Amino acid sequence: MDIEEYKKIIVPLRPQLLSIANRITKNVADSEDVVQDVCLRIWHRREEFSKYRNVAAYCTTMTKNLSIDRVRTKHYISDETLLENHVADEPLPDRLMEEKDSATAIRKIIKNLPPLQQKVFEMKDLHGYETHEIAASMGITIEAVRNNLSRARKRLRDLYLERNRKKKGDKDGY
Amino acid sequence: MDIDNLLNKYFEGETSLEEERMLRACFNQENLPEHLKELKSIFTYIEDERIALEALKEITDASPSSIKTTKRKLTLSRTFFISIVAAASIIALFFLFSPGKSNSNASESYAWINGKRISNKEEIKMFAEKSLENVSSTENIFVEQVSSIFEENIGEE
Repeated sequence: MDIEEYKKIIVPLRPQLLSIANRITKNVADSEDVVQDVCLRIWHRREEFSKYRNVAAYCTTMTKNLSIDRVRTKHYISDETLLENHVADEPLPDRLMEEKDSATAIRKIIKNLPPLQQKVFEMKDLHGYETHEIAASMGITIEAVRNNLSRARKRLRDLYLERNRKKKGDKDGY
Repeated sequence: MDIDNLLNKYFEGETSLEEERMLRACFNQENLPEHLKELKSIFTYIEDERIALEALKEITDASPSSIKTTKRKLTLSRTFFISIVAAASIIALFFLFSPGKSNSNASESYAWINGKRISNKEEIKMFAEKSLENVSSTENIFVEQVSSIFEENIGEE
């Protein structure tokens, strides 16, 4: 599936998914986030979905589940909490190591980064903002952006390699 | 700059967007050095996510979500309106065509006499005539009284 085929699937599906997400989260911004999450997951697993007959049904179920998760785990992160980086040294839960495909594992590692690191990483590596633009938009120094970006990238690398080593170890053990 | 130096710079958070693009392109190659192969998935993921995010941005800009929300509200209010009309119609039909009371009442004549509901025509007629007699007797009393007043006045004169 290339990006044009992907767009052809997403364009008609999106309004329906937004409607479902909005009914559950009752929040337009949350619905947009959930639907974007669903769409990105489909893209990362596009080879699998090329064989799947009813993509719409799968997406609907995924949207419902992610919307419910969103409502359950929703918490508002204040700027202070964001700057504290309070979960910086928490180990990655074992369940994240058990992910079968690399994309899902990497996604989970990114989602588990401390809030400030996650935000800086997403803005720079995924959305393509310049360092000084991130600093201005978040109200922090360029040096702070670089530090958090460096920590985020290293953490992603280390946890991903750790996960691979664990998986390899499990395989060799059998 | 070789790929290892670029990679170190990347992990220190010091690469520019252009250098990061070059790095992703390097990791997209088939003949990647062995020690870098285990990082390939990370850079492939980042490149993939960037492509998808760009596509989703295009889609979102072309069709804002508010359209769907408005449409849904309209659909809801329309359904509500139809339900109200349907309920009102059913109630109206029930009163119009319900058997018994209303139709039978229309063909049946009755009168309330001294707190009693009487539907027998003869009985009603009898009471009516009796009432009219009472009226005529009341008129007679009035005429008699007026006459006696006049007679008294004449006598005094």
